[in-house]
Amino acid sequence: MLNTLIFKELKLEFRTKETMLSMFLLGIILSFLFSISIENVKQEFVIVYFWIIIFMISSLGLYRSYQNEKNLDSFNLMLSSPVDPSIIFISKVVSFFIQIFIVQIFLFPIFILFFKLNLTISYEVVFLTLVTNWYISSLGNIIGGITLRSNRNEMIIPILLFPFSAPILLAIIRATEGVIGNYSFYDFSNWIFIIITSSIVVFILGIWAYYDIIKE
Amino acid sequence: MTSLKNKNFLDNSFNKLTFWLAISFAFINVILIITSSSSLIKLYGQENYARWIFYYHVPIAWNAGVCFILAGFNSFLYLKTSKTKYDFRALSFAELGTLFGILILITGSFWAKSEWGVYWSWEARLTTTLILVLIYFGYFMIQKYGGAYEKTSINRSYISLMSTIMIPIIYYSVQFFKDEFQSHPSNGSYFVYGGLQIFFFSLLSFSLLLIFLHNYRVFHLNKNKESLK
Repeated sequence: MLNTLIFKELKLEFRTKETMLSMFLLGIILSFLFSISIENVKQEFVIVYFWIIIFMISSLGLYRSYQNEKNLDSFNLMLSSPVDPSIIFISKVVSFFIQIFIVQIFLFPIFILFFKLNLTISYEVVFLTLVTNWYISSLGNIIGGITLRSNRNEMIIPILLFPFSAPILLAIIRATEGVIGNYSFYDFSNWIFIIITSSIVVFILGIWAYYDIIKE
Repeated sequence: MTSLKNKNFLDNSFNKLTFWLAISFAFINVILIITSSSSLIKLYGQENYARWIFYYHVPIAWNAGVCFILAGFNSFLYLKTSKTKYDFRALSFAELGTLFGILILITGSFWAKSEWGVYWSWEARLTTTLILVLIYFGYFMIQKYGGAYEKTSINRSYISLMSTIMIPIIYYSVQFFKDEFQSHPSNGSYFVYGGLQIFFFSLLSFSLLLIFLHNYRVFHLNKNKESLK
């Protein structure tokens, strides 16, 4: 069942590619603006820009994905099927996780080009990126579900997403800096701890709460 | 229900007691701080007078912490039992917590000005408190624009429950951010400013104020139940 739902979400997205394309284009535009407005950017600032852009475009992507559900009233149809709502949540998390990772893969070379970076990507950075993507995806789907029945979800999604992401944004930036700068592990282990625990907590909360949040 | 409509908040003797106690204690508190500070300033120097905001800042922070924890707890009870009384309590605590949270930011800024010369220095605890207050702004956005009451009350409760994860982060932030930001005065160093008894009196008076304000808010939420739904 989970496979079917994930496949459905991804097929819906890859048919039109509108969400991913708009996320990608907004990412390019924002990185362009950041790179032309400041010359000689330090490497640690680039990490900050990258993650701020990722959080911004993911709020756009979440809005699009829930708007599609809303426009055709397809969500209520899906809820009336005999599927556990937590499986719907997991499928949405996984599909958004894949989408945002694909966008990041395409965005990153452009980032390197615009900011003239020379850095080697280590496994640790990829791992931290994936965990953070999982956090964004879980949290974003909870918030998307909360705003589903509201008329002003385009406004409420960023208002809720950014404050909840602020500790994680700080943590991923510090942890990536630590990994790239070869700091001793003790210096940034706190931040990695914050990222991993909050990803797990938010994901479990989503599984537990999703039915309450989206039911009419 | 009709009897509640015509009732006054102060008709209840407990409410009357907390109201008068809160007002008189707040008044005595101000007088105590002003009269004691003249001798204490002599002890620690004129330039430290802004540190007396400590008598307000710490009880306010204490109140805000209690409010946010109880808001999360009552939200949890509401989700478990779906009784409206828990939701009203949670809503009232959330409102008061946000109010006290904003007051923490203001009084903390005054303290930061006297301590470091700037109003906002990205001190760890103030920064994380600001994040929590911003989350609660989202909470009120949901309450106002989220749709029908039955829906928003559940969604609000989940946000309140999720935001309780910030409370340990706020508490331990002072250790997390050790080297990067301005450091918060640690627990023991408060009392070099003196006046331990006045501090506890201030704490008591603020707790009474919290009880009074909470009861008042819950009373009015119950009174205007129909307009919420």
